[in-house]
Amino acid sequence: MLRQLGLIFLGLFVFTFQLHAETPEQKGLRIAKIMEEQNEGFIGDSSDMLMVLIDAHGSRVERKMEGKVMEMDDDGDRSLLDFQSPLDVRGTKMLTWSHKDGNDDQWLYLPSVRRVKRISSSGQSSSFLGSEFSFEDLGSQEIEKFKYKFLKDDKIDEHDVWVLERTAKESSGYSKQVMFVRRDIKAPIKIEYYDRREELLKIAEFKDFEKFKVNDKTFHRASKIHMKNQQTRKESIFEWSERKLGVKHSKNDFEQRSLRQ
Amino acid sequence: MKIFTLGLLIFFLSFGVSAEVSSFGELALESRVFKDDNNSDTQDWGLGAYSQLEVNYQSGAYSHVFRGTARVDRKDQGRNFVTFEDAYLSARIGGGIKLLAGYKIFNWSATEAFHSADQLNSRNYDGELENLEKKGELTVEAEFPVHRGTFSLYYFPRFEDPQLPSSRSRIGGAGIDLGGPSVVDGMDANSNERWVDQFGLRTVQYLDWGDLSAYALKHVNRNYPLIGTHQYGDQDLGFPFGSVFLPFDETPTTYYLPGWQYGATAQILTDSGVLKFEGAYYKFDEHKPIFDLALYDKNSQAAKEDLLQERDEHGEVVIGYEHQLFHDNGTQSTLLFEAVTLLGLNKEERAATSIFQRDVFLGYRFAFNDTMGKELLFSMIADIERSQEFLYNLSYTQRLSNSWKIETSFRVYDAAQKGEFPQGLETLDEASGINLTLTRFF
Repeated sequence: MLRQLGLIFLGLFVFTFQLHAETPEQKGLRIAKIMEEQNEGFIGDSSDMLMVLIDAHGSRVERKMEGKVMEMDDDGDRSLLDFQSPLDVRGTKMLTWSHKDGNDDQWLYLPSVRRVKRISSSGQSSSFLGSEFSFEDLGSQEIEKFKYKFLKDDKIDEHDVWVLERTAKESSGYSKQVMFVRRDIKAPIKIEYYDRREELLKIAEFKDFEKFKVNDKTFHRASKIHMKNQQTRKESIFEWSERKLGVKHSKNDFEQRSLRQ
Repeated sequence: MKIFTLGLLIFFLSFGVSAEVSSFGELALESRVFKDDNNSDTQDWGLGAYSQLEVNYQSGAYSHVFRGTARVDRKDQGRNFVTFEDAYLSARIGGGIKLLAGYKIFNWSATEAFHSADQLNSRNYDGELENLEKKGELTVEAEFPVHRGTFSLYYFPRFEDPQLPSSRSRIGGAGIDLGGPSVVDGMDANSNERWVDQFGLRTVQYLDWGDLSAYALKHVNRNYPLIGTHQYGDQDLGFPFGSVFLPFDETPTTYYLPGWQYGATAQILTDSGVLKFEGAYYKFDEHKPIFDLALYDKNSQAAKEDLLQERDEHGEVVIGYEHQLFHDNGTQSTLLFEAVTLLGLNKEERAATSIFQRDVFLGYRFAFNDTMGKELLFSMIADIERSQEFLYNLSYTQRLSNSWKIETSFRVYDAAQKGEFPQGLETLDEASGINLTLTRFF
């Protein structure tokens, strides 16, 4: 009996020691996994999207899209963006197959020439439709693609947050990203993006969180991301409306052949 | 007109089962001015109105698409053009199988200038050589999901007439009214039959490292017509002239030849771009030779075998590379390279077969990546076999608002005639000019 108690205490001691011994990298990865688990099980997503581009003088231009996302069991999500405006790119579609390992696969359908174009992954850091968002910002955020490091606990607008740093394992337009993750909903509410010279480039603020219930699990999604470029003073706002979670899309909708109808 | 009515009928019948329709389109004012060729038979400038309307209906597994275009040119009525690009119904049945029937435009090519894999639709030849407008092709298609892509079967029951340039057009017209088109049926080069059985099959596979496709077509080839006349023969002129070989009709006519075409394409991803490959092999059905009127005009004493032209089986290979550079200020450059060559023909045969018989294309695209989508493209096509044949193009495009866009281009053909009669790009040597297009999208 005494021997068993001794083993239990020894086990607890080792476990406690291990907890205290958790490195910032381990803790960062653990939090990232918590965020990922929180986001699992949404099945599918559909929404209308509005992107507002604001230049340094304050003039505004709008872009509209329809989007669908399908959760995959064994790999990254698949997404389809259907551009509605500006009108000259209406009908353009972008299909992305994100992967847990390696580069995402991306195809662009150009209706004016009826061509399905394979997109090289080298364009991940380029601007999305002339906005302050890059393809990388809007693409796959699979945790396998980043190295994480816990920086500190903090508070933003009365919300307790974890502050994490993440760096891309493969090529990226950023040297690092600093994420502020709300502890209660396990979702980022702010991300700071640093350029390759390690200077602050952009800040994204996630706002107006909406609650969705899918199979008794609650998901929180920001209805608005406000991206401010700190170097050019340009801004872009991404807004979601008519958003539905738990949508069961057909896998066929996310095949290359569906781009051409 | 009958085809147009049929298309409309297909489309409006589809409304019987539809309730939700989306539509959009564009209206454009097009102007083009060519370098003066001192020829009063041709039109050196054009002013046209172009319109396009697309209507879509999609509900679950069913899709209905109509897309029609029209152009009216105030200066050259030969440019007037009404067609529908798409007018089809499609349905997805069990297992991801798609069935489609109606008019449709295809593009199997991934290249910018040389398109060996893009040969299914008839073209409007009064346009940019490397990217001619297409007409819809009456199609019955069955598509099956296979592995990581698709396998498709096609039946094309009808040959759609290409839009030939009028005699007043500076692009290809050159003061001559072309007869035809005519579909050659074996040794009968006088066929006006448009209902021709054409078949095809194709597979596309989307792999981690790139996209691959392979196809086979038994169809009326659209890219390699012969121009001349099929009415010719020996005529006895009596003593002392004897028998001479001459044409009985001197209207240059375009003859389209049925045959087999096998091909493959690849788009292979690299760290900073996409490597492209297109290959095709053409085998034409046995056909009656066509009398070469251009050669006869220059040299009526030419040997009989030189005056008769046939299309020989041959291959075509295109390789290309698209390299992207992303600049710190958010702008983007794309470097484009393509090369094409015809295989299995000698130099003279290559020159007689295609304008782009052994050429390279170099392009530089600069995208400002701004809200107005400003983009600049400079490109050059150079013949690397026939000296002094160049085509330069400089174009600029940008949005003026959410619904207005402007595009201007400057094209220079630098290909002075070297031989007895013009070949390849030499036929367009004087056709340099400026285009300006203002488009309103709705």
